[in-house]
Amino acid sequence: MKKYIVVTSLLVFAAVILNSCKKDFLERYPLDEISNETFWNTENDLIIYNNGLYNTAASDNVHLIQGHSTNLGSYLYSPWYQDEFSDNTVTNNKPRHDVFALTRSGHEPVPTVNQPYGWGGWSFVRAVNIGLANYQHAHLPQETIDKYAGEARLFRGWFYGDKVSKFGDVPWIGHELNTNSEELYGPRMPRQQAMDSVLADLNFACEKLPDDWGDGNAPGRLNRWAALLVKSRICLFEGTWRKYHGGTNPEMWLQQAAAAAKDLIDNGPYHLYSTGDPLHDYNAYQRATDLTGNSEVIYWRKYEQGVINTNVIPYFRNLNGGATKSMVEDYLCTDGLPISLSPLYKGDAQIEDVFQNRDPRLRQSILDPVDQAYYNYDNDLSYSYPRLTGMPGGSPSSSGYTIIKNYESVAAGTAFNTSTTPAITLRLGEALLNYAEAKAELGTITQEDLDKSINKLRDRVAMPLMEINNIPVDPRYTKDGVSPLIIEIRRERRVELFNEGFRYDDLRRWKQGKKLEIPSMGILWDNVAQARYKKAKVKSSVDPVSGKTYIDVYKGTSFDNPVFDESKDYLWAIPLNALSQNPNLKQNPGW
Amino acid sequence: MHLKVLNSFLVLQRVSKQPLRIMKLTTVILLAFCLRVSAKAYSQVTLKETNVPLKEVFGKIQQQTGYDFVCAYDIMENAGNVTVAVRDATIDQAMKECLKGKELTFIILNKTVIVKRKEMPAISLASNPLPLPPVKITGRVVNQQGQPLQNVSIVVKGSRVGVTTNADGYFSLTVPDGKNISLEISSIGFEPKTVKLGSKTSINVTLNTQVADLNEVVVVGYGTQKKENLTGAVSMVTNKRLEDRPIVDAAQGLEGVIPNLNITIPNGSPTAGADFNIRGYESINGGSPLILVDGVPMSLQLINPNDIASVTVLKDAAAAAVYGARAAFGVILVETKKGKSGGKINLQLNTQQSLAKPIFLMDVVTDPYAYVQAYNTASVRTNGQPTYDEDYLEGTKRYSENPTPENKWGVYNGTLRFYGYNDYQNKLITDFAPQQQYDLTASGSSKNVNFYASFGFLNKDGYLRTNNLNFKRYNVLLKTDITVNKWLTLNEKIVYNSQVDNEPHNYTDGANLNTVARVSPVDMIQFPDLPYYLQPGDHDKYAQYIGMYFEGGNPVTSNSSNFFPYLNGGRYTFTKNDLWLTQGLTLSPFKNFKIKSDFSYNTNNLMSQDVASKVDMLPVNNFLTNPRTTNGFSGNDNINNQTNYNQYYVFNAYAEYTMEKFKNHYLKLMAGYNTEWARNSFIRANAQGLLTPTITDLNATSGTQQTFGGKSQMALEGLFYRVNYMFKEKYLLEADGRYDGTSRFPTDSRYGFFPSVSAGWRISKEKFMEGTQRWLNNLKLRASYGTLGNQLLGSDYYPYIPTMGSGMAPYIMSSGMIPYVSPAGLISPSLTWETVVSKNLGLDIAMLDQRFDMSADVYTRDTKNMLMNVNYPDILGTTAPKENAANLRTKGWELSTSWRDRIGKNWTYGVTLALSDHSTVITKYNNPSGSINDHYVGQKIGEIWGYQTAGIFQTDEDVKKAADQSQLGTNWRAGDMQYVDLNGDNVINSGDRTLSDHGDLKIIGNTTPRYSFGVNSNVGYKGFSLNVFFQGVGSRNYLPDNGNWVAFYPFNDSHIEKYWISESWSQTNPNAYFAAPTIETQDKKNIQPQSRYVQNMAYIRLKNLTLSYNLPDKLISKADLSKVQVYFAGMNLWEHSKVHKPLDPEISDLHQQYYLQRIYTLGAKVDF
Repeated sequence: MKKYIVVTSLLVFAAVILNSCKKDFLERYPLDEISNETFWNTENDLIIYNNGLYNTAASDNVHLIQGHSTNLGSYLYSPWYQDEFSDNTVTNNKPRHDVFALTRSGHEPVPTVNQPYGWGGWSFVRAVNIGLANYQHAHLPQETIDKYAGEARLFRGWFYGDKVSKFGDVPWIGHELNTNSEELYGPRMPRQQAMDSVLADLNFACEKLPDDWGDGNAPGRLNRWAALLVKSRICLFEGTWRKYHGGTNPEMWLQQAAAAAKDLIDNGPYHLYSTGDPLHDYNAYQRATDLTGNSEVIYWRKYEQGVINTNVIPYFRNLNGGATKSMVEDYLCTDGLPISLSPLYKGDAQIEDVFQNRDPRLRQSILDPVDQAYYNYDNDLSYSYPRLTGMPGGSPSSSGYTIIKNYESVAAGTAFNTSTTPAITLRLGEALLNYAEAKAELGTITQEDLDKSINKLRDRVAMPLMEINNIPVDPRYTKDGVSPLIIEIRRERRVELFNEGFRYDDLRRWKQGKKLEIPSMGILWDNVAQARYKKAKVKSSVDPVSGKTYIDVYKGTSFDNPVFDESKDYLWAIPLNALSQNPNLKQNPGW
Repeated sequence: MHLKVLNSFLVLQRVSKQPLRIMKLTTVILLAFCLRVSAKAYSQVTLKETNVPLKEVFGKIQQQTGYDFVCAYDIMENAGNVTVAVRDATIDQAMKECLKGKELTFIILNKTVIVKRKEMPAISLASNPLPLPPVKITGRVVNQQGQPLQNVSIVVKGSRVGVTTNADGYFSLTVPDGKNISLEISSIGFEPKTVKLGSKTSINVTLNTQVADLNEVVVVGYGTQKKENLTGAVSMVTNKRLEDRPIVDAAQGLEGVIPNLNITIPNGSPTAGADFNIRGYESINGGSPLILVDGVPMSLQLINPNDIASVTVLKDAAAAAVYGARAAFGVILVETKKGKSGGKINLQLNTQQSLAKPIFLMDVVTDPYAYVQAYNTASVRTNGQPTYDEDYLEGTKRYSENPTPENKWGVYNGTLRFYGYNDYQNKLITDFAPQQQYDLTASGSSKNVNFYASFGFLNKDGYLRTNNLNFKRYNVLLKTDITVNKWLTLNEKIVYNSQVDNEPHNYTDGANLNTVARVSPVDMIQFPDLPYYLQPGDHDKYAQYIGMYFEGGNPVTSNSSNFFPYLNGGRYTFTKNDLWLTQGLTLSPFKNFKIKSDFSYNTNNLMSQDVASKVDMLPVNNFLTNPRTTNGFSGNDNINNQTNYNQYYVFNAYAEYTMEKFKNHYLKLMAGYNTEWARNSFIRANAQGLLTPTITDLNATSGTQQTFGGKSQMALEGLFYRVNYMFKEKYLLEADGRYDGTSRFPTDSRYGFFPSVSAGWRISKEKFMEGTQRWLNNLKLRASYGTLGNQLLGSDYYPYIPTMGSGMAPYIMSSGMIPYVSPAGLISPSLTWETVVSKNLGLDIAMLDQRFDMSADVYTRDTKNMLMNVNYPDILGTTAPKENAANLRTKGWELSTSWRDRIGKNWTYGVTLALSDHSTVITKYNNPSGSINDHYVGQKIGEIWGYQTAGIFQTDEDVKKAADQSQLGTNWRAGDMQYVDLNGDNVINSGDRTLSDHGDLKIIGNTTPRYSFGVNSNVGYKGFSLNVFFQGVGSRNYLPDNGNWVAFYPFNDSHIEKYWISESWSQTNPNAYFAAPTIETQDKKNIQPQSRYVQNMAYIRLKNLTLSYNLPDKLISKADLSKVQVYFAGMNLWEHSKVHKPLDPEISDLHQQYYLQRIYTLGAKVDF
C-alpha cells in the first residue's frame, strides 16, 4: 500500500514539475531596446542613427564638432583653450591647465592613458562603420541613402584627418571589427595610405551631402559647405606637412585644399559678418549668444538651459592667463606694416601704447584698458585692468594681456554651468585663409586670389589690403625660410584665427616648432610697471631681442625652459596603455 | 449491563470528500496527493449533520478517526437525533458537540469512546478517581561536579506552582497529588530537566551544563539536517548574536561571527548596503553569495535584525548545490522567527536609544595664522608664490594674538577678508547623531495555529547640525502556521519593509559633507554684521546680506565650496516599499514523507524625488564693490521624479522522504523544483526651472520637461535533489545536484547541471575509539567536491542579444534634445555559465562534555570559464563582449572554536573564536601583452603596484647623484621623494607597464584582508551578562589614492591637519614621513604610488560590548511580566591599528562622507 502511495505521489509531483517547465519560460527578450535586425528601414531611422554620430562627434573623446564641454568638463574642452598649446596664449598657472602648459613647454611625459585631444574616440569610428554597413538596408532611393552615408564618411575622414595630424601613421579601421579581427593587433597604416582613404571619404561627403538639409540651419546638420571647409582644412594640413616635413605629392593636397575652399567661397551662401563697424564687427559675433542666421558661421554648437549648459566663460577667465607678447606683437599697424617696420608703432612702455595705431582686431582680441566699460569686464568696474597674478580681486592674468575676443558679461556673471555660450565650429573666415595659403604654397596665388580671401578679412576691419607686389619684409621672420608673402599670409591666419585653436597645429605643419622654444612673455616689466601693478606676483626675464625685461609667465614653474625636439615633438606620443595592448602600434620616434 | 460494540468500518471513498474541500481553499495542485491518504491515523473530525440519529454520527466519527465506540444499548436507542457541525475538531470536541444538551457523557480510553449517562458513577469505569491528600516534596539540585545550584526554578508541570532552590540547592514544595505530576527544573546555563515524581517525595537532581548540542538542527537548502550528520561546510548562528545590539542592518551584526563570511561595510550611512562575501575573491566579474530569507531571495537590509531566528552560511559546493547556478559563491540562509508552540502568548517590547559618534574626524589646524603660514610654505615651494599675501599674514596674526570679534574681519583693497578661525567642521557636523529603534513582537500558539507578528521602527539621523539627513525604516513581519490536520499545514507570511530617506540634494561633489576637507579655516562662511564695510555709514547698504552664506572660499582661493548654503536648497527624498506575500503548504501524507511548497510574490516600489532648487548665496570676489547674489552650483534648478516598480515571484516545491534505521542504514531523499521570475520597470521625469523653490512638483516648473522609462525581465528555473545516506551513524554520504536554466544565456547554452558529493566519517563512533568516549564527544572528518554555476551578470539581463541603445542626446540641432540610436555592442553567441569547482576538507571536534567545540575547514575554489571583459585595443571601438575565458583559484581555511563552561553556582562564561584566511591567484587570463593594468596569469588578487621609496632627498646634491626622476615631475630638490631605481637604468619610470617592462614599479602590497578574526566572549553572573566582541583583520595593505580632495596626503585638500605640518620634511625634520610641503592638488610627484605610504590596515576593533541585566523574577512577577531586561550596548567602541590617521582601517573610501560610528545604546526589553 505504502509503496503504491509513494509511487503515485512521486508521479503526481513529477507531473506538476514537468508541467511547469514550459519551454518558452526562459525566453526573455528585451522590452525596451531596439535590435539591429528590426532597425534600418526608414529615412527617420537613418536620421536618428546619425544623430547619435553628431552627439559622439561633439564629445570630449572625439571633439570634432568642437564645442565647449559641459559642467566640470568646461575647464578642459573648448577651442578657446587650445591656443595655450602654442605661443599665442598662456595658462593662468592653474593645475587644471597644466596639460596645455606641459605640451607647450615640451616637458610632457608619455601619457599612460589617452591624453586630452589625443588618442581616443574609437567607438566613433565603429559607429560610423556600422552605419555605412547598414544604411543600404533601408528601402530608400540611393541619393537619400548617400546623404547619410555622406555625413558618416565626412565624420570618418575628419576623425582620421585629426588623428593623422597628431600621430602620423594610424590604425585605419574601415569596417566593424570583432574580437578576432586581425586589425586589432596590426601595425599602423602609413600616413600616406591613410590620408588617401581620408581624402576618399571627404570627397564622397563633398559630393553627396546636400547644400541645404532644409532643417533651418539653426545650426542643423552638416551640409556640403561644411564638408568643403573640413576638406580644405585637412588637405591644407597634409599638403603643407608633406611640403615641409617631406612626403609625396604635396601639390595634390594643396590643390585639393584650394579647390575645396574655392568651391565654398565662390558657390556657398556665406559671407563675412559685417555691419560696417570695423572696430567691433570682428568680435561682435564671436561674443554673440545666438548665432542663428549668422552669415559667416557655417556650423556652430548651440546651448540651451536645461538641455546642455557650459561654464566656459567663467572657467576661461580663471584658467586662461592671457595672450603673449609674441601674439600681441604680430598684429600689424594700421598702415599694413609690422611693428618692426611701421613708424606708427608706439612701443609697449605701457599697455595702453600697445593698442595705438594697430590692426583693430587687436583691440577686439585683447582687452585695451579703455574698453573695460564697453565689455563690462568682470561685471565690476572698480577693478582696473590689466590685473596680474597676485593682485587681489578681479580676474588676474599671468601675462597682462587679458583676452576679450569671446568675453560676454552675462555668461561671466551666471552661476556655475548655467550659461549657454555658443561655440563656433566652422566659419567662412578660415576658408578664406586656407584658400590663400594653399594657393601661395602652390605658388599660383594671384592678386585676385588675395582679393577674394585675405583682403575680405582685412576689409572688414578697415585694414589696408594686401598687395601681392608690395609685401613688407618683416625682419623678425626672414629666417623662417619662406617667402614674405607666405609670412604675411601666416600672420594673417594667426591674427584672424586667434584663440580659435589653430596655432599649435599650424606651427607643427609649417615645421616651425622651434618657435615654441621662445618663452611665453607678457607685458613689459620695468620699474614703472612694478610700481603700477603693486601686489603683482610675477616673474620676469630679459628679452634677448630688445634687451628689455618682460613678464616671463612660466619662469620658475615646471614649464620653464621650453624645449621643442624637432625629431620628436611634431607628433604626439601614443599612450602606454594602447601600446601595451598592441605593441605593433610602435611608439612615435623619440618618445 | 448490555454493551454493544458498534461495527468498525473504514470507507476510503467517502472520506475523500474532505480533502477536496481543502483543495478549494488552497488551490495548490500539489494537494492531489491527499487523494490517497489513510484517515486511520488521525483523530481530526469534521461533521455536518442535521437531525440524524446519534448512532449514525458515531459511525462517521469512527470512520474518520478509527476510534471504537462502546455504549449501553438502551442509551443508544433513546438518545434521539442530533444536529452537529464541527470542522477539524478533536474527537474530544466532536463528542462534546454531539452530546450537547443530552444527559450523556463520555470517556476515552485507549482509542475507545465509552458513552454513558451523566449520573452514572465514574468509579465503574475510571481507574482511580479518589483524590489523594497533598504531598510535600523535597529535593536538592546540583551540577555535574556535585556543587549545589541556587535559584534553580522548580515548577509543577502544567501549573503555576513553583519554588526556587536555596543557597545549598535545596527546595521543598507541596503538591496536591504526588503521583501523576512532573517537575520542570530549569536554570540559566543548564539543560532543563523534567522529573516524573511517581511515588517519590524526595528527589536529587543533577543538571548538566548547557553546551553546543550535537543534536542541534541546522537549516540547510530546502530542509534541515542534524548538525552531527552534516558533511558539507555549513555554519550557523542564532539570533543570540544579533539581539540587543544597536545594529541597523543584520550585516553589521554578522561581521566577524562566522569564519569566512566576510562583510564589508562601505561607510556609516544607513542606506549603504553591506557587501557580503563567502570564502574570498569570487570572480573577476564580482559575484556575491545568494541570500535567501525564508527561502526567497531578499536583501538583508530589508529584514529587521530583531526578526531573525537564525543565519546559516552554506560555504562549499556540497552544501550549496541545491541552489545551483546562483550559489557559486555560497548561500546565506536566513530564517525568521516563528511563534513558539506551547500555548502561551508572548508579547515583547524592545526599545533602543542610541547615540552615534563619528570615529575619525580631522584634527585641523585651528590657528589661522599658523594655517596661512603653512599653506604659504607649501605654495611657495610648489609654484614660487605664496597663496596668502602680507595682509592675510598680518590679519591672521592679529587675530591669533588677540582673538576678538573685531579682529575677525577686515576689508582690504575693497575686498572683505576673514582672518579668524571659522571652525567649519564643528559648525557643520554634530558630535552625536541619535538613533532610535522600537520593536513590538507578539507570538504564540494555540493547538492548531501559531503566529509571530512583529512591528519594528528605526529612526536614524545624520551628522549635520542643520537640515540634517534622516532615515526611517518600518518593518512588519506576520507569520502564521496553521495545522489543518495531521497531514496538512499552511504557512502564511507577509513581510513588509518601508524605508523613508530625506537628505540634502547633492548639487555637486564639491558641495557635500566631504567639503569639510576642502574648506580652509580662513574661508568666509557667512556675511558678517560689521559696523561698516567700505566706509562708515554703509551698513544699511549691506544689511540685507548679513547672515547669508558665501559661495565658498576666500578672495585668494575662491575655488572651494561651502556646503552651508546648499543645505538650504533642494532635498533628495525617497520611499521604498517592499512587500513579500508567501503562501506555503506542508503535506505529510504518511510517516517520514513530506512535501513542502511555497509561492512568494514580491512587489518593490521606489518613489524618489530629487529637487535641485536655486539657492541664493554671495560670491566671494568683489562682493563689497559689487554686492549681488549668485546661485553657485544651484543655478540650473530642476526636479527629478522617479518611480520604480519591480515584481518578483518565487515558486518552490520539494518532497522529502526519510528511511530511518532500516537495519543500520539511514536514507533521506529530497527532490524539488524552483522557479523565479522578475520584471522591473521605471519611469523618470525631469523638469527644469522651478517656479518657486517652495513648490517642488513637476507641474510647478517652467523649463524643458523630459521623460524616460525602461523595462526588463528575467526568469530562471531548476530541478534539484539531495540524497543522504548513513551507515551505522558512522559513515555519511551526501549527493546533491541541480539542473538549472536561466533566461540570461542563449537557448543552446542555457542549461547546466551542477552535481556535488560529500562524505563524512564519525571517527568517534568507531569501536577503536571507545576508550575516548569519556572525554571525546564527537570527532568527524568531512570532505566534499562539487561544481556550481555562476550566472552573475549584474543587471545585464540579455548579454547574448545585441541591442541598440536609444534615447535623447543633449546635442542641439534646432532646439531641445535630439533622439538618437546608438550601434549595438558586440555579443558573444556562446556565452554560458561560469563554473565554480570547490573542494573542501573539514574536521569537527567536540569534547569534555561538549564544553569544547571546534570546526576547521580547508578549501580550494576554482572559478573557471569566467566571463571576462577581454581587454582589446581601443580601436575595437566598443566594450568587448564577455567571454568565458578566464580562471582563478582561491584557497583558504577557516576555524571556529568555542569553549563554554560555568564556574561555581552563578558564573557562566564562554569564548568563541572565528578565524579565516584566503587568497586568490589568476590561473588563466587573456592578456597577451602582459599589461599590469589588467589581470594576468599569476596575479595575486589585490596586488598594488608602485615605486619603492628610497627616502627623502636631504640635499640638492643627492638629487643630482640619484637616478633621473624627470618623467615623474620636474624641479626635484631637497625635501622631495626619492624612488629606487630598481631596474638600474638610471631613470625612474613605469616602463610600458607590462610584466616584461614595468620600469621601476614593483608589487608593494596586497589589499586582500588576511587572517580575519572575530572573538566573542561572554560572562554571566546571576541576572547579569556581559558580551564582548572583538573583530579584526590580521594583515592587509592599503595605498591611499592620491587624487585631489582625497583625505590623507598633506596639502591634497584645502584644510590643514596638524600632522601635515608635524610630519612633513624640513631641514629640522629630516626623517619626516611626508616630503616637504607641496600643494599636492597641483603636483603629485612626491605622492606617486609608492611603498612608503602602503598602510598596514591590520586592526582589532571592539565591535560590540553588551552589558545586560535581567530584573529579578520576584520583582517582575508582581507586575505580571515574565522577563525584563535592561542593557547597555556599545558598537565600535575601541580599536587598535597602525594605520595612519585619519584613515579608518575598515573603510577604504577616503572621501569623508559618512563616517563609521561609535554607537552607544541603552535598551530595554520587556516580555509580557
